[in-house]
Amino acid sequence: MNQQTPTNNIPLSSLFSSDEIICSSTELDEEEMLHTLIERIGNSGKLRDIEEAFTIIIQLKCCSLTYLLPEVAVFHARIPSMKSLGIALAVIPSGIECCWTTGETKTVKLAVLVLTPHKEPGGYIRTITAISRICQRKGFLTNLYKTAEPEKVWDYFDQADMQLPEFVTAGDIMRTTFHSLRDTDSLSEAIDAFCRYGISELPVLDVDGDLVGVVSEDELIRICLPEYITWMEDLSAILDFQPFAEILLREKDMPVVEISILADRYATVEETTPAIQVAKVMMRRDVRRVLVVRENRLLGIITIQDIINKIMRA
Amino acid sequence: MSSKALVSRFALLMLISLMIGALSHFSWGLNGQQTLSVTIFLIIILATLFFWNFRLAIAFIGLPVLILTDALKLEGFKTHCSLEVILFLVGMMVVVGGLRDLGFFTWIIQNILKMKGMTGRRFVLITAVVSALSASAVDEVTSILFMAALVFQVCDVLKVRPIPFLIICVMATNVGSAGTMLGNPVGILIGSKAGLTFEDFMLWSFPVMLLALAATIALLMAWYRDEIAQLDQRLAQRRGHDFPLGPTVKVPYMRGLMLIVGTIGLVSLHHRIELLLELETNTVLYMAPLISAGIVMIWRRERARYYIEHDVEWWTLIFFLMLFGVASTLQYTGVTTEIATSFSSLFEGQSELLMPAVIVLSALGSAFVDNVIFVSAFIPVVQELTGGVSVHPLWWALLFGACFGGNITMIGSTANIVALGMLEKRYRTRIVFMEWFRVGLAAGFTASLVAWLSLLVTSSMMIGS
Repeated sequence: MNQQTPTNNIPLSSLFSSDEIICSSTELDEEEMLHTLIERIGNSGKLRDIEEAFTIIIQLKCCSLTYLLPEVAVFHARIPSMKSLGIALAVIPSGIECCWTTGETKTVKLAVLVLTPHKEPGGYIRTITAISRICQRKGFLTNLYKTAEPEKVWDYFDQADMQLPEFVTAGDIMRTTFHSLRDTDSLSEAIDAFCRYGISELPVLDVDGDLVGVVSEDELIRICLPEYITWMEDLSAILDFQPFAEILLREKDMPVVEISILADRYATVEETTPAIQVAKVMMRRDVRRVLVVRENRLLGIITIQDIINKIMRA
Repeated sequence: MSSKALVSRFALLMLISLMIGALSHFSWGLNGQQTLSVTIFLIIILATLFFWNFRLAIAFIGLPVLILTDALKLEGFKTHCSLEVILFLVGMMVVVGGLRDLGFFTWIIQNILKMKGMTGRRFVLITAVVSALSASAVDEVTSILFMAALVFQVCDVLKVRPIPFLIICVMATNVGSAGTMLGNPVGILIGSKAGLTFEDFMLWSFPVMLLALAATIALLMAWYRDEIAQLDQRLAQRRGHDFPLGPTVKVPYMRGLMLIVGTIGLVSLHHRIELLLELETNTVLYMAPLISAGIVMIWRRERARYYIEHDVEWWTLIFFLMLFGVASTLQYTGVTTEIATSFSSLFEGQSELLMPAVIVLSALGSAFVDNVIFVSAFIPVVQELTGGVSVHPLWWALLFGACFGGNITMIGSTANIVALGMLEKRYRTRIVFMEWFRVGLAAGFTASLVAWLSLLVTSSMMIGS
């Protein structure tokens, strides 16, 4: 994660107190834990209607639960009755099973609840960015799980001296796991990947992981049915998709780079680019995804769905 | 555009127009009506250029202003608006729509893509020649639309920068548009006003166009030799893998071929038919595309409405109609006679300089002003200078200058603007003004020089014919 983004000098530890931390060595139910955390935020005076918040969290679980790191989960929602951003933490060294909407369960040892007012769509993202950065520090989580008391947990976070970033960057919201192709792959593998993964675009990387280009379904169709063929009103000569057949005859021999859009023509941003700039690039270039690079090394992908999920439904 | 920019432009155009108007009165001795005509004409033309997106609105307002100030009569507008030229263009646009639907342009592109042993130089030569000849056969805009698609297809497949090859096609298109009356609206306009026939164009213009094209292609091949070498390399790599440059399909091209051959055939024989039927000069010329268009609309009746509503560029044609009428104010008030007299006096005893002067003036005018606008205004001057002789070198000088000058700047011709629009839309990139201007000036100069030298050789034959 980028450490160079300017901060606005708001320490993460100032957003919660030891009263909003629970340390539990006994097994807790996921919903019990959530309810307790919401109550703690309510007790701080930031939240008026605890049951409303609980209902919203449970109802929006499909997009309100983020598995941030192994054993770290963040529950979040924007609550109409929130006065200001509220954070509560649950440190459970024995782990708690949290259930995703996919039916999958994961063990969580640090659960973070972030509730934000409606009018602060960026507040959650900045908070989760700070939490993610702090948790990625070497040994932080290991030592955290050994801390048994809320006051000591708070001290631990305070001593870590993590501040909220001034703005969220592309690196903070990108997906780091994605499907890709190698520049040595053939067109056949590209078509298989489109069918298998159900996605519309795939980055093409060289052996070093550098971005060579992007291959898209649109480009594939355009290769088979270029503009000069579509001028004809009468397409009876190609009712059997003859132009596609020509390309398919060569699919195993044709390298995927033959049909890929070169990297310099694709929408890319540096990881330090502000997230709002990413949204602007999407609108300006009329694209639904943007690649995040560092000196041409592909780091991640941001889709328009990520913008909606992380900013509009944060 | 900001209000400040709007006001600045308006103030500038008013200043220029009023200054030239005042100059024409006090220095050149034009009378009141002539001065008014010049001033209003300049305001209209400059406003059209400064506010290009509003050109039709400006023409709509400008024409009544001329009529209401008695700088033009309504009858004069009706006589000079060249409705026959507009109808000619309507017909051709419908025919082009039909050709596109019938796969004629698809067939041409596929034939180029299928060629064996394609090299960089061969590709450039073929695309340039096809651009020029298709501009001569249909029109420059249609030519660049489908040639640009070909260039983009090949450059995308080979991963090379398309700009040099697009520029080559555009410049060849502009040169080729001088070959016949069909290539450029200025061609049909000059033919109409000068009483020139299609045969006259084939005899005096087409060969010059071929020479100018050869010179232009040679220049551009040398200018872009590095890019052509890179294209060559990529083509060789692709040949090595036996990958095609694009898919090809079976195109029922005969129908399209019959349509274009029939249309051009009728146009080319118009003079013979007119003589046979004792019709006025160019009657059949103007009617030929309408006949073809009518046949297309019956044959492809389910698409007839589409051709009229979408393939005919009504915005542009109505603008031309108004523009031709506006330009006639100079003739109506006698300004063109004065200008022609001045020209004659200037070149008295040196009439051999008149031809290059017209070429240079029309080339420079075309480079910075829409060539139809320039030619519309200049035609009455040339009419005076030629003394009513139709096959006169000055007409060809005007034609060549107007067409070849379109290569000098990015805005020099409609084909340039269309190509740049396509480039920007597809690649989100623009050509820098100087990148075009340097090669454009060289190409424009080369072609104009060839035209002048050709006219020097042929002019004596012309006036006697």
